[in-house]
Amino acid sequence: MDSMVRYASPINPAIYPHLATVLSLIGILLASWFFVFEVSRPKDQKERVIFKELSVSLISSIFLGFGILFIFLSAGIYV
Amino acid sequence: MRKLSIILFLVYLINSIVCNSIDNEVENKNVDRTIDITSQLVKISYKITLDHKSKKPINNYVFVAPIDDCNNLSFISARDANKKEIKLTQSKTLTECSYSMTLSAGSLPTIYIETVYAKVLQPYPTEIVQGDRQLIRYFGNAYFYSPYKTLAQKTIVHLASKSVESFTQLKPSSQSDTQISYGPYENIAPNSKYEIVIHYENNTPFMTITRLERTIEVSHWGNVAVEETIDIIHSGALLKGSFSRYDYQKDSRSGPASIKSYKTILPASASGVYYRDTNGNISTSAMRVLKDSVELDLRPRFPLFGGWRTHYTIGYNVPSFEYLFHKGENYMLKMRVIDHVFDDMVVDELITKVILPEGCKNIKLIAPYAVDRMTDTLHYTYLDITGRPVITFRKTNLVENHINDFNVKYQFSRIMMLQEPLLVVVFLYLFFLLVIIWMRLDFSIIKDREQHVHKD
Repeated sequence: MDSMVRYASPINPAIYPHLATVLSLIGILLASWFFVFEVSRPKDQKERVIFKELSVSLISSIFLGFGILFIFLSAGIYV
Repeated sequence: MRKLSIILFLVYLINSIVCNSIDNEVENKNVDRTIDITSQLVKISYKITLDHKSKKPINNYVFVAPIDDCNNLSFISARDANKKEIKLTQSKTLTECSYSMTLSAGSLPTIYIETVYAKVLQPYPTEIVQGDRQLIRYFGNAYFYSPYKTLAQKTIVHLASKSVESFTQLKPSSQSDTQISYGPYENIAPNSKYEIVIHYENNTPFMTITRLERTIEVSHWGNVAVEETIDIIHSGALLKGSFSRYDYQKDSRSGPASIKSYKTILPASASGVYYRDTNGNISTSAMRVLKDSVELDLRPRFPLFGGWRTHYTIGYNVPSFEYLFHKGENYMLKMRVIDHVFDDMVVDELITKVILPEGCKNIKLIAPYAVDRMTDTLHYTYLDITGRPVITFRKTNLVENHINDFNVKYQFSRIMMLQEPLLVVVFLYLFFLLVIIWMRLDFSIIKDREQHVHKD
């Protein structure tokens, strides 16, 4: 017990709302770029775009995922 | 006949064992007893000075409570002259409960004992109308009940008010203001009883918490959420006849025995406090942030009269650094088993649940006193896969003196904290993949129509 130290969150709870806004904004921007790209792509396009799609959607989902987590935390749902 | 003699022998044997533990040479030289019946509890504190007839050191002392008292005894503690806690070992027979304590050699032969009894005070009359005062009877013993001879003793009873209907006289006894004193009495034989009855006015809140469920949810994102679901009954004199809201509002002194509001004290760091019942938020409450606590002035939706009950939920958040400690992957949560609900509270049943984060291992509970540990369960909430382990324990018959810390030790690896965001990430990525695949599938019906045309 004596050697134990107080446990604080790895990220200061005061910046949860800011993190939530920034991360989910970036995530939403990337996701909307992805959807615009998908619907505006011509059907008979021969260019290889699969890697572009996969990488953009991956980055977008990472940002959105953490953004949603911080939205939860700043709303008081401590998961 | 032989059976009877065996039983007689057994009784003799048990008797001799019980008697053996009591040293007849020990005497209570002086006993000062203070009986506090100002609230719904009976708090008796004793200052006992011991003496040994042949001047030997006293190693063992036994404090005895008669069986009727014993069932209502909520709390007992003993201290020596240096205010150090003495350990008590309880044993129970058909007629009494005894608490034996070992005294360290060389200590001064003075013992301080503190006992708290719940549900001993009885309203009499048991039913009153709205405007009546609440009269209470206390049944006690004029003498200090002890297996030892008591040389001198004095008792002071503190009352809730000046108005006393009657009290048993046992010379020398007297009443002055809100005090009744009995004694000094000298040379009282062991196990002496002389019943006293004090019938007096006591309008302090007679409230019993019939059930208190306390849930503590630990999050490693820096928060500990506490929620208490409370059932309260007014356990004083029952209300006779109807309740008139008009009379109640007109005169603020009407309904002296009813409960309008009470104070709950929360930890100083409590934030996001809510007070609600099944209908929703109860707006008749006030919160004051003090230096070392947060004070809640709670007012139930309706005043509580004798026999009326209420049910509500109270909750708040506290930061984890106040209650959670760690070293590497070993964590320890240190929180209160039960917290303050109102002054001089009585709790019939307490259930405390500790919800730990998902993925905890080697969970160990260290309670400050004996509790019934119930089977561990799992709790499912937001972003959970395997469920969070829940430690549940139960205790009955608690009073304010039981407010004390418990410890829960567990192991938790920090990587597990990433599980929740990754769950969302994976879900979203699967959704994007679905879109990518969808876009590569051809659902157009133009070709089909052309084929149909050709067929025709």
